[in-house]
Amino acid sequence: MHIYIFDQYLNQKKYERIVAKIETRLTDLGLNGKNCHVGPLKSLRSIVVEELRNTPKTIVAVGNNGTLNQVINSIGESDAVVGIIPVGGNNSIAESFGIKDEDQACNVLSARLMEKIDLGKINNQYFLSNARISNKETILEIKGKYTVEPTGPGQVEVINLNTKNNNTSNPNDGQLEIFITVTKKGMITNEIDRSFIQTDRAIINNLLHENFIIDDLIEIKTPVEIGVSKNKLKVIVGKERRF
Amino acid sequence: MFKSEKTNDFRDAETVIGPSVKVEGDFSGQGNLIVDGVIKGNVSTNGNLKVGDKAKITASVSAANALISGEVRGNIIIQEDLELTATAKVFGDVQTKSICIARGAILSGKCTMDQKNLKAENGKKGKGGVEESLGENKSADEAEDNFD
Repeated sequence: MHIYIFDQYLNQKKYERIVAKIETRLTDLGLNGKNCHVGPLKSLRSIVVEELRNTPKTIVAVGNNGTLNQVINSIGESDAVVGIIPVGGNNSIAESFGIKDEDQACNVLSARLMEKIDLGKINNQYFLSNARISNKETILEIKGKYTVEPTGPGQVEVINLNTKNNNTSNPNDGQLEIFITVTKKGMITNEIDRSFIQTDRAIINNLLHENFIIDDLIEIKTPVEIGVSKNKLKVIVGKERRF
Repeated sequence: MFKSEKTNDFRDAETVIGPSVKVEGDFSGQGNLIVDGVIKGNVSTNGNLKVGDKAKITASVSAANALISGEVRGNIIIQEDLELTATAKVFGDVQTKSICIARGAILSGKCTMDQKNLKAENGKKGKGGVEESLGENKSADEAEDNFD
């Protein structure tokens, strides 16, 4: 049975037509299941936990990257399959799954092509795509063997699934990619120095106590312990996926 | 070996240490490694190693193949080919199967080459196969005197 979880922002009037269209399309494809709408009195986590008691086969996040992140952090140890129907902006994860819009998403759900992918883990919080922090006063300890310290301003980005077009990360390899960019001021344009490390665990600390930002959404205080859960999540993907 | 690669091309390299990054501790890996920054600690990889002209490694290095353009202060053990470009500065002993040193490179230390392989090649080629073993090179002190 499919459980469709519609994010809270879809309750806005401007999404009414899109939501109705999705529901109709799913019925046409014979994919109708239980539709749950997140609201002020019903959180996404409580819906997922409640529905998991009935051992559903598939949980579909209808929304954006944030909706998907909340779903993966709510399903816990369940082996439910996760799908996504992207609505509105901030849907880079769906795009890297080969799903461009809600119409294509319904067709992808119907085809039910599944992939097992890794999940990144920061402290106790899972992430699908990336986590980033400013590299000012940031120190990375990789596998407890060596430390890496950027020497200028920029960003540290930990990537599990690359949502940009330059596909350098594989979410099936049990590794996370850490990109460190340092911006140097030049006479005309700024130069960017890049470093790249692959690892399955690291501890990252920021001496200025800046927060880590996960999937462009959730903030986590430093220091953080980063790891990877190999093949943790079963997701429904399109043929045009980027991995 | 590395000439067609660019520093920013991450596809073939497992790790890239950029010029604005400082690494301390023992680095060990399985894949190719590109170093353009500063490493204080041992570097060991089963893949290829490229040390850029601004890079500085202070400790021992081991890899399958290496292209060195920067500074290494420590012993180097390479399983196959070692290439020192004109900007390379190596202060330490080198052990490798084959070596290529460009004019201008500094190698200050003892260089040992794989004796077994050299003998085998000598046997095949006859007397003039390999004229000189780099294993009997000048001592590190002598070499440093020459460059100072």
